[in-house]
Amino acid sequence: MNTKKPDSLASLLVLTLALSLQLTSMTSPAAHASELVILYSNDIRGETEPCG
Amino acid sequence: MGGLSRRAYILNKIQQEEPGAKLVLDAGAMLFAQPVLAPSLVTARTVQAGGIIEAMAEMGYDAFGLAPQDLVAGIPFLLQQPEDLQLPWLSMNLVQPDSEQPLFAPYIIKNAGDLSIGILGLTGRSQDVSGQQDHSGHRFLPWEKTLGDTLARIRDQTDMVILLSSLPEQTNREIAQRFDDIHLLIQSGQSAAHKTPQLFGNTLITQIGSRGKHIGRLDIDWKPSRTWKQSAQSGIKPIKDRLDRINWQIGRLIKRYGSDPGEQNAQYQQLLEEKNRLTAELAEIEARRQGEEEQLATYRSSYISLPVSLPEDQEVREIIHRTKLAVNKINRSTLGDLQQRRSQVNQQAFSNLAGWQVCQSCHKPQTEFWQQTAHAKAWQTLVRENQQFNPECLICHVTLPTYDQDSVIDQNLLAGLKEEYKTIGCEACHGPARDHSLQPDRFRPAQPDEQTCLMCHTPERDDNFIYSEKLNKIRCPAAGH
Ligand code: HEC
Ligand code: HEC
Ligand code: HEC
Ligand code: HEC
Repeated sequence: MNTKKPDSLASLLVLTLALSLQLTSMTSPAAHASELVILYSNDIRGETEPCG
Repeated sequence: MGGLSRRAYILNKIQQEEPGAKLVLDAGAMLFAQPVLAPSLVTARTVQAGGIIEAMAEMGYDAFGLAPQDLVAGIPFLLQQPEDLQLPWLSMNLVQPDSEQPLFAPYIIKNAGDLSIGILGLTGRSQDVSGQQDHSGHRFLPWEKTLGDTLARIRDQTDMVILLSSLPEQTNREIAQRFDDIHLLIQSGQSAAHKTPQLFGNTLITQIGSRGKHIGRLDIDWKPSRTWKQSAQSGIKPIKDRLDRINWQIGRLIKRYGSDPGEQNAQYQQLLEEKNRLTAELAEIEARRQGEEEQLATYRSSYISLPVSLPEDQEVREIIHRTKLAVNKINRSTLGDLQQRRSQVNQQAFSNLAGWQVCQSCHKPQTEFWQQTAHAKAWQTLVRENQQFNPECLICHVTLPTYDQDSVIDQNLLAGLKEEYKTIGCEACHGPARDHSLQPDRFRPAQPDEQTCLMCHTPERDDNFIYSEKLNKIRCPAAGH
């Protein structure tokens, strides 16, 4: 009976840790946000023909 | 091709002046205008494609989609480019016929900032599939056969997935609806116009206009949820729309019956009830979302235009210039070859023309006026551009007995043009008029109408052709003869 205790304690610890981790990630999402600039082009058809 | 040096300038500038993570992408269809070319054009166009490759290599792109328009010169043309001109082409569905192994990388994974980004390519099939298959030893797998597997392979290694696709727009939308874990789909070569980025499921589909006159730009604030805010919010939109309609209806009733349409008005009561219900529903959803909201990714979309006034990147400019000269040289010898053949048909076709110098003797004021117009200098323009042997340009910049494209090619009309036709002369507008010039009283030349102009002022070449305005600039004066 007694042997079970440290086990559940440990798992409780893991759980709180996980919870608080999740909490931090929820309260400060900015820390995980990533700014990204995507530049994209399309075909150059027409550029050979500089009319108009 | 000229615009490439300005594109290079802008890309360079952004890379240098803005810190932060960037990706530079192109969905393909950049080497050739059509998936299939007339044989007489292939050599010159292939040299041109080589120049484009060189310029693109200079610009530091992260990835290219591979479209049917890039395959005109065959796959070896791409694969056998020297090491430093190997562009990062992507295609998961263009495969070896037997082994079904992809001929190009199906995807790459790029690090941008702290993000790991998977970029995939899907190649569309051109209309003329048989022609393509015959000469180049490749096969297209249907996207269904490759996309799911490839996505599964990179899902765990990436924070974001981008698909470069030259498939038809309808297919792209189908893919978007089906795969929530493709976050951005950039399509190529579908139309000349910009498409405002639009969400289908959790996939943002975007396309920049296909004339190379703009660069598309997305500023993305990416989140670990890998979900676009706009996509998560899409459930709210129908409710908001319904509320708008109700408010409008209520407003109308108030207008009709005064500020209080009264309890007896059943329709009014019903609308009020629905309004209250929907408002509460909306508030509830929004409250629930509030927490979620900050976890959702957002984007801002913009276009950078490339006006001719922009400075040019000197290195790319040099590449383009060199390429143009090489292309002109090839066109010159091709035209020379053509000239040696079929010259008899050719001469007969011109026998109805007189040339502008002949008209001059009887129509001095009109000739003097015409000489001041852009038409009189149209050949000189091509010389200036080193394009005076390019049949694709000549057809609109010279005087011909007909401007019907098939006739021009069939009758080989561009070979061996005489000096007097190296201009857009009187007969380009008034029609062949040799008979008239010999017997003015018996034969009357035609007067041009809008259709005459549109033979050359096509939407592709002149996107703001307003007949009445342009007519005023070139109408010959009505003075005596
Ligand atoms: C030998 C003199 C002569 C020559 C050469 C000549 N024209 Fe004319 N042209 C005339 C005369 C005469 C008229 C009729 C004037 C009138 O009726 O008012 C005319 C009329 C015209 C008209 C007006 C037709 C109309 O319906 O009002 C046009 C357009 C025209 N010429 C174009 C040309 C062109 C193009 C050439 C060269 C290919 C040419 N002409 C060469 C003498 C000439
Ligand atoms: C054979 C082809 C051709 C035909 C036919 C033609 N054009 Fe043009 N046009 C050109 C070309 C090529 C240029 C540019 C010439 C240059 O500057 O090198 C041009 C230039 C012009 C310009 C000056 C540039 C501009 O857009 O403002 C005007 C105006 C114009 N055309 C009006 C007309 C009108 C009106 C007609 C019909 C009555 C007509 N053109 C028929 C080929 C043609
Ligand atoms: C379908 C007809 C057509 C073809 C083909 C064509 N052009 Fe033109 N081009 C025009 C017209 C029409 C204009 C005048 C449009 C305007 O200025 O608004 C023009 C104008 C130009 C101009 C601007 C002239 C100036 O100085 O302002 C250049 C340069 C030019 N063309 C080069 C070319 C080259 C190079 C090619 C071949 C790659 C070509 N064109 C093929 C019809 C054509
Ligand atoms: C870009 C097309 C274009 C070209 C090139 C052109 N013209 Fe015209 N011309 C016109 C138009 C448009 C009119 C007016 C037609 C009308 O009023 O219906 C006209 C009218 C005329 C007229 C009749 C004038 C009158 O009395 O009303 C003559 C003559 C004429 N042109 C001769 C010439 C000659 C000669 C040349 C070459 C040196 C020439 N045109 C080149 C478009 C052209």
